[in-house]
Amino acid sequence: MFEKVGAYNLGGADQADITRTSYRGTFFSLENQDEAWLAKDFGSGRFGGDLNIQFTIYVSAISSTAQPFIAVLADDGGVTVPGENPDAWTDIDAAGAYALGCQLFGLAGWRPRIVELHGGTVYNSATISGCSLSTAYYARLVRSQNASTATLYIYSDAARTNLVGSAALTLHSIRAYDWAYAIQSYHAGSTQAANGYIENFDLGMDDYPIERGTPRGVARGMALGVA
Amino acid sequence: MALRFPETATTARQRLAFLLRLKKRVEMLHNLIGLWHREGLSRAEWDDGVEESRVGGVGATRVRFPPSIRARFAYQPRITRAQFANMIGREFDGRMTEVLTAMAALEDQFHLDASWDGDIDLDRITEDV
Repeated sequence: MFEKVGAYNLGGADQADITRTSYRGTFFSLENQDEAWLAKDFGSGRFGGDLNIQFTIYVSAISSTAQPFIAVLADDGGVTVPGENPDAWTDIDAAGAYALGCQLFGLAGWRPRIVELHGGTVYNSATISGCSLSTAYYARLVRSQNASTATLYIYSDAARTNLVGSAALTLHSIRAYDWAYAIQSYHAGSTQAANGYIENFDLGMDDYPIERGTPRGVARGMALGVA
Repeated sequence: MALRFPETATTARQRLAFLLRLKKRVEMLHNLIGLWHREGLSRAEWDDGVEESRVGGVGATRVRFPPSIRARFAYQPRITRAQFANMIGREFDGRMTEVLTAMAALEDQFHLDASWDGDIDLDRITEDV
């Protein structure tokens, strides 16, 4: 089920850098120093256990040291009351929050990586190479509770049959997150900017209708037999 | 499923280099399965493999299914979406998990290695702003 990010909340002093339509959140001239986000509060502990998050990402321009965030899940970490006060990345970092998501870098085209925020400490995976500007890519971010790992897969096709690259991160906690950020600015540094969009953001909500646990979609896919 | 390093990969650096290439080959295995679903494979491609440039690599090296997969799956010109999903679950996920786990273990080892501390000067890195 794709998130209707058009109904997500825009926030921050530079929220004009983000626009939204039904299933797409677009960032334009989103600078490192800007404060902006496109987010929704799903309620306390909504995203726990195994996670299987998918989205389309398109970057048309990015400075070499720009570092916007997309597809971030975060909890209040005792920082805010659920339902209140989403913030930019550096601000939730400074406040000691917990989060898991993707960060984009302007290196040789652009490169995504996994970021984990663990009580105010940031941990990163290696970056994934091979992504070109002005090309849509199809991402899958998987968290395995048993293995305490998060893995980011980047594909070149919507059916996710052709893998461009992958990266993994050993997690320092398996948090149950409240907030989903489609887009989140860094809010540190200066004018390094990025343009692009995130679309068809799927949090795997239809995989967790009753209780949190192994995504049913994974089990369905693996159960199919080969003729 | 278990990962075995080559006998020549004895140092952490050699093992990391091996794992990086192995990870790329596992990704190409994924894409070979994807190619089989999207475009199909001829009998010759099933037997001899395809150039790695067709499955996410850059060279002319041929990439083919390993014997264990060829023993488990019979040749057919093209696989369905369900068969693709099944193969990814059975043949890709476990291998990738093994590689990533080994890489993470090696990374942890590097993180704890303080042998470079005497050469570290944080002012060698300056922010370009």
